[in-house]
Amino acid sequence: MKKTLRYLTMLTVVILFAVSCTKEDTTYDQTLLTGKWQSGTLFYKYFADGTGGTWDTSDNVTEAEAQAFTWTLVKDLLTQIHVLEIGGSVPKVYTVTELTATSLKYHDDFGVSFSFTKVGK
Amino acid sequence: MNGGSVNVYSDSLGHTNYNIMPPDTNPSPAAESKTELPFIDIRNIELKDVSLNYIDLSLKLNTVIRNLSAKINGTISRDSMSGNVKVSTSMISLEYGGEKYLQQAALQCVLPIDVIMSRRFIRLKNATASINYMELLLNGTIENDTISKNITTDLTYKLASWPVKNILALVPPSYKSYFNGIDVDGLLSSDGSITGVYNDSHMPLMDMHILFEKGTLKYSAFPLPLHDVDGDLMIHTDLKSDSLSFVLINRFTAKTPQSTLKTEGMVTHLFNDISCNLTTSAGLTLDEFNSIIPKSIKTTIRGKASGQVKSRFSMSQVDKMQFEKMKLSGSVTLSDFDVKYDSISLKTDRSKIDFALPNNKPLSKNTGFVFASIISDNIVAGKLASYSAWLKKSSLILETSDIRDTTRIPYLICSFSMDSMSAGMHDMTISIVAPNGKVLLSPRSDKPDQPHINLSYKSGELKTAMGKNTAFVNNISTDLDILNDNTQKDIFLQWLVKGYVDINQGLVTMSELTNPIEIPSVKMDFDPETFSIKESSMKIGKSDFRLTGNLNNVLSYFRGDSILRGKFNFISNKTDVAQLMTLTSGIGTNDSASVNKHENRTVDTVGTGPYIVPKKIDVMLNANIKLATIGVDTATNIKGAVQVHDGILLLDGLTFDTPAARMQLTAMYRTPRKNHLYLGIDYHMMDVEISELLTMIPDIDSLMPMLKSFGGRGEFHIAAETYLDSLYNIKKSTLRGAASIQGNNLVLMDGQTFSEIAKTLRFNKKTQNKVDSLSAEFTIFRNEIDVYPFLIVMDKYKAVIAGRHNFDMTFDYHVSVIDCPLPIKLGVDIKGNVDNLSYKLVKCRYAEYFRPTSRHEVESKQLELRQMIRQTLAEKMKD
Repeated sequence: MKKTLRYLTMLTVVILFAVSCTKEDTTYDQTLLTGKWQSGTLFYKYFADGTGGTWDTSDNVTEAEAQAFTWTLVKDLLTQIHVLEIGGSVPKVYTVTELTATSLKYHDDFGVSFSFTKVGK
Repeated sequence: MNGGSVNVYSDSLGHTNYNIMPPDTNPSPAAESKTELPFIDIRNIELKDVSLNYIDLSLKLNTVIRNLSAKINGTISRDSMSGNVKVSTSMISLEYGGEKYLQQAALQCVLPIDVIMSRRFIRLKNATASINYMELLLNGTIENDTISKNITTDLTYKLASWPVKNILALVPPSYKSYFNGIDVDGLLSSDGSITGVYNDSHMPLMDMHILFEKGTLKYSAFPLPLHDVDGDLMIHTDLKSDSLSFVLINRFTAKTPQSTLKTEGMVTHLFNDISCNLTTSAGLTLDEFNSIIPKSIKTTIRGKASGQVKSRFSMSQVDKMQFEKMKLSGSVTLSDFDVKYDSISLKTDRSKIDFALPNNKPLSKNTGFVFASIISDNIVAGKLASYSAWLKKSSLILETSDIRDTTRIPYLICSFSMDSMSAGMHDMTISIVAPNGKVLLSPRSDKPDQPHINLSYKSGELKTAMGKNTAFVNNISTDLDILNDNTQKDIFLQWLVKGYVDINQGLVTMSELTNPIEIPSVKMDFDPETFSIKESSMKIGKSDFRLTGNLNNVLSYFRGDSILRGKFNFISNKTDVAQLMTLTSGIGTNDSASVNKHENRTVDTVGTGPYIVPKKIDVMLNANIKLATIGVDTATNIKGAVQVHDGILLLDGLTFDTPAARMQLTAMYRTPRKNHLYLGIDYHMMDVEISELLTMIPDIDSLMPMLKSFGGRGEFHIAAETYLDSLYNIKKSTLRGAASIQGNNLVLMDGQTFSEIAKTLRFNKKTQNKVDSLSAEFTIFRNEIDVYPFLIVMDKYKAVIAGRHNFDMTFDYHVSVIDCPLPIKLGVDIKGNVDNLSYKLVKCRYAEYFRPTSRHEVESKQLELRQMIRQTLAEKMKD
């Protein structure tokens, strides 16, 4: 019995430990995402209809020449699907760590972080 | 009567000095009976050296005869006289109205004469009279009918070899001014008759034969003296009626020092509108006519012109320039002809010009106005230091409607042929062998002031050069139907052309092109909107191709109303793609707003920059190419569509063979601006040998370096796009791509990656290192290459590999060994770069990745994305 009790106690501790180790889901207001964001020469523009465009002025690309993507923000998971004109899709998935009216931060699974400042609607 | 003088005077009232009898005051008998002259026989009355002065103031006549010697004999019987008056010598002076008509002129005559006085009838029987020894023979009768007031004549005359100078010497002084500057001589002979009635309304009919011989003429206004002037003409006239009157020129010839002129014919309608029907022959040495040409015209002519012209015209037609009513025809031959006007010259060694106005045998009802035929041995024309042209053995035959109507284009038919033609202007030259053809010109039915032209043309060898650019055609034939619209400003819109062209064995070299363009044949129908290429073959450098199809909206394109559309079959044994792209780069890209908005204009010149896809055209090539080269790469059996659509070059689902595999390629190249070039490719390779794939597309090694560790055949799909700068450098921020590779029974090569992994995981190197299956997807985004988790089954191991690979050649991979001889699941993180890889045993990240029931949310998401990547890639695959 003592042995059984000990086992149950350990199991409870393990379960509690396990529960306490589960990542807490964070949800961000996706309406804050819409607008034009800048990080150095890199720009992203998110539209409310789930579309967007990105361009980098260091490569002599203008906003009018931005490449299109679609996006979703589910909880803290920002998914961009970059659609190729020629056919094909390139998904990019990021974990958002901060989203305010003026600041956007996220990182990918490989630890590459991005930080943007909103510069326009 | 010997000596003595006779003075006869009549005052202005008619009182004479010889009327010395007092007037008869006796009344006249009531009815005077007719009296007849008694018979008188005058055997001989002889006058010697008698002077006669006759002054009649009422007639304003003053006559003086000196040294008059004459013999008179005859008989007078009843109403008639018959006799002979012979004046052997006399000098006569005659003044009338103050004008001296004769001055001491030698007068002689022999007048056998019969007179019937009651009828006032005179008969001259071989009478002769001479003034200054110019003898006139008269024969015939004159009768004056005082009742009807008719003078009836029936005379013949003859004069022979009268010196013209002597005749002119008889011209009264007040008329001599008409002959100022004229020095004329020759012998005038004439004979003829004067018959008929003379009265107030009738003139007798004169029939005169005039012969002019050995004439000379100098006229101050005409610098060429004439000699050997001979004329033989008949004048038949009543001095009144056109219907009866004419001048028949049997012959008229004249010579200048080096030229001859001859004419003959008829002149009619002498009194209303003189009409000529002449045949004129000439042999002109043109050099002597230079003195006639005013120096201000700056024109000189040399050579000879000979020929014959038939003319039929009236003076009123000449005055009114009514060429349509005239008849002119003839043939003129120019020999060693050379005319220079200022700096322009025309030479021909021999040309024959035939012409006819009107054209009696017109080829159409509208070209009856004039005909001309010009046949030349050689013609050289040109302008000093400008242009020149040579025609050898040329023939030009043309006929037209009246070209003077400036309100409408004339009808013209012109046939031409020549042995050869060449021309040059500055650095441009053209030479053609045996050009021949026909031009039909007519006014447009809707706009008669604008031309409609039909041209049929054939020629042999044609060579042309402009600077370093040359073109050669072995033979060419064309039929053109051309409409002109001179209200248009653009020359392409002014001339609307339809027809066909057939070119054989052409060769074009252009300084802008490295290789010449060989054109074995081109057969094409065309109209303003459509070029229909029935057959064409070309060779450009290493490329050869046959092109058939249609090019549409040509006119609309030039009008700016539409883009140029074309659909062609492009069949080639060998095509150098880069070479053809260079040829077509930049066509239609003058629109700086669309192409070059962001670039420096000074460097934006076609030919020095990147390939600019032609704008405003939509051309599709259904390509069938046996062998194509793009740089060092080659492909065979290429089939598919190549489309240029308003600045977009699209290779749509091209299939072709390479040493690695049968492939399918869709590629898009856009040039929105010179420094922003879009390139998208969609590549599908089925059953590809991986090692060959890496050889053929070395960049794949950068995208997925572990591939070089595999051997065998697989399936590879990739779609990628990027923008390039003007030097074709990739703009990394715009690079996107997705790829998928699948393979079964691949051999794991003894490569670096394998060695490192095998060493870490203690693979059994003695077994055949086969990978049962490989199915991987990866994406490219900017400088990141994300490899989605994929399973490889190898030997006794199953592993899931995923990670990131950067273009700076750094790695961040994770390998989850999910099945191995040990009862554990291991993971290895591989990081660093090729020269410095680090391995670290870590938790197995993808232990449940390929177990759906156990899969975590993130893993599901990754699988979902893999599926999407693969699906979108596979969508473009052809069956």
